[in-house]
Amino acid sequence: MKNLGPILRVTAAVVLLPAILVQQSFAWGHDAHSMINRLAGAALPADVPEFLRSPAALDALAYYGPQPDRWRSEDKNLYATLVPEHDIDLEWADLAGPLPRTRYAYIQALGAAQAKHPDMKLGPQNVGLLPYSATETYTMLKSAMRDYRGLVAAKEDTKPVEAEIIFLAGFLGHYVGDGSQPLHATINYNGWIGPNPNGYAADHTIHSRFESDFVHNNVKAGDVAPLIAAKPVVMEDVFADFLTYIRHSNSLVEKVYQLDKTGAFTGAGTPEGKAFTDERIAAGATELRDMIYTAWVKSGVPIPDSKTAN
Amino acid sequence: MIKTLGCLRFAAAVSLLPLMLVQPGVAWGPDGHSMINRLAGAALPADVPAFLRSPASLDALAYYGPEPDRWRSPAEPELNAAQAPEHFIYLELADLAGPLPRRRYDYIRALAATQAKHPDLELTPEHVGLQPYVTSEVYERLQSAFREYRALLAAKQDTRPREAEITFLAGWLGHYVADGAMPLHTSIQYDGWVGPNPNVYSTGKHIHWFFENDYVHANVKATDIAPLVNASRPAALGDVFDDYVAYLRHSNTLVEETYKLEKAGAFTGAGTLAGKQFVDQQLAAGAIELRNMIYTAWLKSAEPVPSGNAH
Repeated sequence: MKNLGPILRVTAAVVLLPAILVQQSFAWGHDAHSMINRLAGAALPADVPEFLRSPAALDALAYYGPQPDRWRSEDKNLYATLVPEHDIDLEWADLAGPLPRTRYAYIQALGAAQAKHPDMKLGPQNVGLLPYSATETYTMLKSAMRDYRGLVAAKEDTKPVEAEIIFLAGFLGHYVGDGSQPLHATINYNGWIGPNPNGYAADHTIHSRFESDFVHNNVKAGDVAPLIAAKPVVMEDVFADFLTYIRHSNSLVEKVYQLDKTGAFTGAGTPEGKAFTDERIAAGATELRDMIYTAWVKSGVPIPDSKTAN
Repeated sequence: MIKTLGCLRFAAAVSLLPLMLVQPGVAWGPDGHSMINRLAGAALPADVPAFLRSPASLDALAYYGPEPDRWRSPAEPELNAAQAPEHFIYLELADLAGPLPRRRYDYIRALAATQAKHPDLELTPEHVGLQPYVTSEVYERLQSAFREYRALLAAKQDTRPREAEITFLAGWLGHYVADGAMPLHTSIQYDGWVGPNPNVYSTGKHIHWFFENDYVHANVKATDIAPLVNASRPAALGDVFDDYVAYLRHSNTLVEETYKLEKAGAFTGAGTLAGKQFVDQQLAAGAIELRNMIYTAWLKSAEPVPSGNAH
């Protein structure tokens, strides 16, 4: 009997599927993405190369923050491909078992789960790919930083690789920023679906009300900066760390709806809504700062023996 | 004596390390990729913004040419697994799934549906390849970035971050477009002939890398290719996806020719004249397609975003 709850919820979710297929909005709005990127860059420690902490780099990071949202509007085919990179519906992804570490292993796992749940849509474009877009971009950044070290040692021109590193760090920042937005980690992406005894918002406006309008009108970088964790952390396992980070975001989904119901994100909102939003933006900047820092530190580790190549 | 042999073996292993680090299927070697990117940038017409045609930009394009292969280091096995299929497509297998859909996940679905009819084949995207998808996706990003550049310019705002991004995206795009000019990147005959082999083509796992890397490194100079590129006028492409797939299909028609030439020693050592002409022609084809794609992205970025695009 106990197990019926989740099944009922999933069934209800499936019935409502057409409504939520009207995916998907922009992650955080432009303001929050720019803010997360700039704050993360400004919080990098002094052992990260100066070119990535310079005022020009911080301007570029801020500019690149919203960039993957701009790309999506270029073409409807591209939109369909890139939308799932921005989120993950963890409740559905978990039906495929523990999340594999590689994109196509995950897509295969979803395919296998689909066979067991023919009534659901478990394609990657429905369930989302956020951990993969984030960690793949992280790894591209680490690789570029390794090449930077090689070029510095060889006293060769580093300008192209510096521009690439700033771009990749900014590109990464978009997905890491998305991961701190609870509504990017859940099937309750834009309005509560399924049984709704608490009367949470079910129309499709909460997502942008919270992440765009409220942030634009009420949040300043100066409010968020003091909340960023002071000490940079080198992550041991970036994929595992990122999953923990988005699972924490997922644990805050109902809180977003509870706050929204009290008017916390409407107009000037409430102090609770403001504190919650500031904390989430700071969490994004902290995670991004730590991922960039980890990429830098790990880029100094020699490449393993070629036998590990596949 | 034994000690000396050991040292020799060690020295030989170290000298071969760069080769071993490069996995099969890394497209053109670094020389071919850098050359294609630089030549494409140098052949852009004067109505493309000057920043993208500047000497600094050509240096950056050349640097970015091999970049997606550098991302495939053994230090990053997860990234390599995700990105390896972006570099090739086995058109013979992809075509079993019907006309190529325009969207990556539609293609993956079509492959999965075809797999059920061909349980003896491996029809996963990671085995069949995703070449046209990554290329058209990076192209669209470039077009989007050009659009933003135009807007920033009109608003008299700082364009430097956008210029750096455009240069990077054009270079990133160049990698895949160059791969598409290499016939073996479009075929199940990727690295050694498979299936019936009455003409006794090479089945060894070396043809791919010898053709695209060793031969190019030893025998091809940018100045050999530039006249072939410059003989073609910049052209705005109509439907970029269709054009690109036609380009890949043309490369695929040259697969057997590649093996014939290889059998005749065309890519061994200094090779033959026919081998040199063939390689020059494919490198030039890559540079021309890339130049035209960058030019098309620039021109189309001036058009309004088609209405109805999801946003």
